[in-house]
Amino acid sequence: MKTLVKYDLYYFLKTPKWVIPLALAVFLSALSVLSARYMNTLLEYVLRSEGIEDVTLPPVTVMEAYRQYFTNHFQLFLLVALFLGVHLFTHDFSRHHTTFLFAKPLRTPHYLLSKSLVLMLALFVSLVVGFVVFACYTHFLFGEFALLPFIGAFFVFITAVILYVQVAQLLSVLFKQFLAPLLLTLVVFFLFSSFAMFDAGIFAFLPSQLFNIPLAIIEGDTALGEVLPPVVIALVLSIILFFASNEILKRRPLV
Amino acid sequence: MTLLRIENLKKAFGDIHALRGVSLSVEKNEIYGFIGRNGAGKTTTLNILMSFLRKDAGRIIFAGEEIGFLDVAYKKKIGFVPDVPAFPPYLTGREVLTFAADFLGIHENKREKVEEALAFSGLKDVRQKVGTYSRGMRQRLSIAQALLGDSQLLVMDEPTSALDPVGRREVLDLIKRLKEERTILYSTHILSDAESVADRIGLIDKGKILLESPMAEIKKTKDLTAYIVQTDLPVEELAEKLETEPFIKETKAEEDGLLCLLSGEGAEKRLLSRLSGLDLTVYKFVEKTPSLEDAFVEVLHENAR
Repeated sequence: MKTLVKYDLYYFLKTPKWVIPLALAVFLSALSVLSARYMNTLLEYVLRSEGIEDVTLPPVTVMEAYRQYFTNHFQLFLLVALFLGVHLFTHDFSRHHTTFLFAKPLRTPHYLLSKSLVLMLALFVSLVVGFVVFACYTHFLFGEFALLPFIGAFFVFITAVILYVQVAQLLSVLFKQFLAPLLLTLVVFFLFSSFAMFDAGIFAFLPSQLFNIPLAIIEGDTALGEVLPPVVIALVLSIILFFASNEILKRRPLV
Repeated sequence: MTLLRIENLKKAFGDIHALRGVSLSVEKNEIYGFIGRNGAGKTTTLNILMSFLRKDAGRIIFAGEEIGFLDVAYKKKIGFVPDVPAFPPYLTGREVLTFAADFLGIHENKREKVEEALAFSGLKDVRQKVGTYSRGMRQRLSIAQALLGDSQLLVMDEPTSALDPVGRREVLDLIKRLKEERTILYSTHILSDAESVADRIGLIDKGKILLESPMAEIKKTKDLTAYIVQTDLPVEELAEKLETEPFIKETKAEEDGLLCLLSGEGAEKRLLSRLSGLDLTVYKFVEKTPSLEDAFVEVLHENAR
């Protein structure tokens, strides 16, 4: 297992792929604060230069920075994470490294777990660096930063990442090439995103609520009883998806 | 002593029966040439042997023990060399072998064993990444990683088929150096390769083993003789005149005349008498050792009849 983790880490570190989530996390974090803080100023400047003087835009609050952060991360970071994930999960098959790997005494759950762990590690480290950038910028430009609620919201986002990584892994193991699992994972992603607008009845418990919960936590607009069911269901679903991936991997040709 | 025994192995892909009860046995310290045409079932057999693929029926017995699917202990004892080996292109050969050693759980003298394998494959001084290796170098690296961990059995799936003549020669030389030290199951459709390295041959066709025999006996078993005949007639014309004879299995134009593959007792006398009956001058009538290819064709013909 340790060697598999090392093998997968080499994939990230010996190719420039580790730069992608890191650069994106830092970029999105900085962009979220800057655009929240200066978007109205920029708009006012543009409108005035067009001769429109009597426009009053609402005052900017720190909530706008949080909103931008989570919207950007759910829309862009998660998509790039899925892209990287599908590549990581399929490249051993599409490049025929499996004849080298599975000729060795490897256990399939270890093989899959290593890939998930390394991908999550790369994403987590990138997100933490982005977190620090976001916290510093927010504190500097708005004079405040809600550390504890943000940490809670951040981990809800991580739960969403874990779930989508497992969806990507299952589909990658099923198709073993890049394009089909990527497209299908995106379809699942967009389906779940569209469910996020419904929050009544059973929809309140579905992982699609993970899109809404982070902001609700920061706004103080949610109780633990509302947060836990979608988070727990997402984690349980991730575990089920992992074991399903393993079963599929064992039942299909490994080369 | 039998190291590997495959019993009645069956595998179907939908309606296509790739293996129809393959049985073979590989003795310790021999090179077993597993030969057959493309699509005969060689790779499917090896893929099942390596647990890359599930079998439908049959048994694999290694060192006296039946092997299950994805058996980790068994995989520590075998090395695999595919036809076109692929390694992560961002790793060096040394890193590939270090990973292979780690996967095999080699802790003691790991570095020495890696260096030994690199030296054996002639890659000790190569520092470049695997992505820049030639096919021959990659195949040598593949053999090196399969040798790590003192594997009892090396399974090679057409290791020379994708190589140029130089790479092919290098790989065959490596295999020859392994003779007497390791047990090798060597699959190929290049019969001259099998002929140059194998001690015993198993011929597979349409998912069935047609023949299993020591190399030295295989030509005798088939009661084959071959003669080169050179006359004042063009070889094509001579071939036409001789092909209808039942004792002539096959004719083939060669540089120094017509190669006639004969079968049956007194076939050479019958050939001579047939030649004397034709209105021609014989310049050459020389016996030639039949090749494995000749035996292979004969077995396939026999099986088709």
